[in-house]
Amino acid sequence: MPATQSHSSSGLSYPLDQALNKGLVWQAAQQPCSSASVISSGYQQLNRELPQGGWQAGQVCEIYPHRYGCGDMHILLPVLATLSHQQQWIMMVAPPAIPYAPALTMAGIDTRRLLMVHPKDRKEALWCVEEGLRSGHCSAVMGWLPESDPNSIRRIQLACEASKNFCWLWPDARHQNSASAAPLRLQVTRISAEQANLRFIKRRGRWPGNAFSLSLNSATRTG
Amino acid sequence: MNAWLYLYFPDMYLHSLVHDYHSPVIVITQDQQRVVQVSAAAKQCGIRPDMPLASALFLCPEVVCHTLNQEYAEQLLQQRALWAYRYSAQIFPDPADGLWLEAGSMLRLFGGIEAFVNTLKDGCQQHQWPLQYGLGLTPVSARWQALADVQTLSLNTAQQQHALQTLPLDKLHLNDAQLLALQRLGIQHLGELLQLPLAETGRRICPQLMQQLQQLHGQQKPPSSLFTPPLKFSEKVIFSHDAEHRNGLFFPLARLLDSLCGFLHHHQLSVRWLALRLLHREPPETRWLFSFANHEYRYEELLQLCRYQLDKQSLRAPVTELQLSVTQFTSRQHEQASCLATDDQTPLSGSLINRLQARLSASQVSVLQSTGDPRPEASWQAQPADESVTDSLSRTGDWPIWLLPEPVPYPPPADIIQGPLRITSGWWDSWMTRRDYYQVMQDEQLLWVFRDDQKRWFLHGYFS
Repeated sequence: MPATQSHSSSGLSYPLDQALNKGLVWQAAQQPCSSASVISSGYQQLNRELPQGGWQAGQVCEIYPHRYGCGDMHILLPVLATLSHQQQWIMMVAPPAIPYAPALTMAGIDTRRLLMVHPKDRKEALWCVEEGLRSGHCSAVMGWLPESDPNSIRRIQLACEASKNFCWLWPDARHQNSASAAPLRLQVTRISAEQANLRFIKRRGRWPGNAFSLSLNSATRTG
Repeated sequence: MNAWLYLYFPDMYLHSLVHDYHSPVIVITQDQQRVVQVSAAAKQCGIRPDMPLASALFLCPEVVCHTLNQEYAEQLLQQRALWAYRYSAQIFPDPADGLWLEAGSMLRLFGGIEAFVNTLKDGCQQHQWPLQYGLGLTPVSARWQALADVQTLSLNTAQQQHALQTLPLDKLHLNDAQLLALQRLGIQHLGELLQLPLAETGRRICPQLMQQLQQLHGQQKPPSSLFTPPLKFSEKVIFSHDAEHRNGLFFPLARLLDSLCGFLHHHQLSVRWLALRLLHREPPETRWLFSFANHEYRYEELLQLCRYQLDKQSLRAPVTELQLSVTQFTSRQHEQASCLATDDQTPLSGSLINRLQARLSASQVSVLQSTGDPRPEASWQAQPADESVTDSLSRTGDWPIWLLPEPVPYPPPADIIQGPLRITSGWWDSWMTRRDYYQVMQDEQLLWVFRDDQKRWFLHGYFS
């Protein structure tokens, strides 16, 4: 979408201003030059597709897996391995099942850094994600929020931006087609045991792009 | 240099009661005969200290009366002494609502007498404690100047002399007999009294006054004993109006926590739990124990943790008194890491876990511990987050990322990608396992299913 800087003299100029002020219109010219840290995803192909050439701190990424077990966690393993060697927690809020320690260790993740939180309800879950981001003691926060709404995602994005942490969310699949404040939205489906199909529904700073398939075994350890 | 600072807290007992500043409140003697301390609102009604209680009630029938509890009054002074302990190493509590602080050795640290006094004044202001102070070369001189509220900020001998000469005698808390004797002689200021020969004063007026006059220029130690802070923290707040909601407890608690933090700072200690005692009008009292996953000593953190914990509680009845006590402490862990230590040895921050556990419950926060057992169910453990986890070696292989808490019965799969992987183990305990694990592709999911030795199929995890 090109920048809409020219103000037309017609009566439409006011609503447009309003829309700009509310941040409803994305303007390429106002792209924030990011100084936040970027970590390689471990997959060359995915790096090419990610706006900054890797996962970027301070940007919430929404992940919409087609179903459980379609490789959505697999693509995060290399970045989690890198992050787990920092002296900070990796927080998992309401994980859908038990993270299987041997698999994580095999991927190079230091499981001692994983902090699992099992909130009772939606309110607690959102609080945990925000608290984890704001505390400054987490390198990454992952949240499975089946009952989230666009407003809570916006809050989380603000917290994430302020704290410059990594954050991945698994929101309600119904929101997949509605607007969201998250800069990155990724859809994952599995094609075969080694192949997953990825598609960015939204990428801040780039066009959404087409689906591409990723070989799940092609990860290189980023160290 | 010899220098003493005397802090006088006027109406300390009255100000320690949590009350509404617009309502008239008085403190009366233990035998409930006379008025001792009077709030500003009560003063407007015409109530004066030393008035009989009956007259006070006549002047203002709706006045709130508190009986002076001597034990609590002493405790209050101890609290103030504890607070003052961060400003001076030598503190001598004076039973009459005051503290002597040795100031001479503190001047260099605070950068001069003015800075020292201002720091103390700011501290008092934060707590909203009315304060009168006096600075003198001897303890008695400091005390008298404080009582007369002469704010001399100089240790110059001439200026000190001048300040003492002009002190009005009726403000020095002398007893009635002494004052009367002095009045008969027509003496109103300390300067006039000092001109008389000391021995005559002792004989004609009062030997105690003579002693004090001697101490005014001579003695260098206050007449009370040195304050040593106890290694047990217990302080309380009495409410003048009952607190009916837990929010009403928060501000008094913040004050207690501030005091606790001063205590912790001085001793270089930290706490893992706080005991709160809430008194109601009817006997069974409420006791809350706020425990934390990790040791804490910072005010902001403790405040936040208490806020979360308070949010979870509900009051059984209105509260009349709140007490905070801590009897177990741990010394602070030294946070400096050794130059040679690797990243692995520096501990992870515990304050996040503290906060999570304060808001949720301890069982909702956990860390993973791998045990090295080959059986999937036994290969991991959820440890409470406050316990340290050791790293154990893991078996290589192709493992699923998600494990279901319980295996779920599953129809025999069609599209087997990989397998079998036989896991036979557990002969040493009663829970023997013999299973063949397969990777199965179904509906775009890669599943981890197994067949047990009775040929039943179960789903046990997802490759995600």
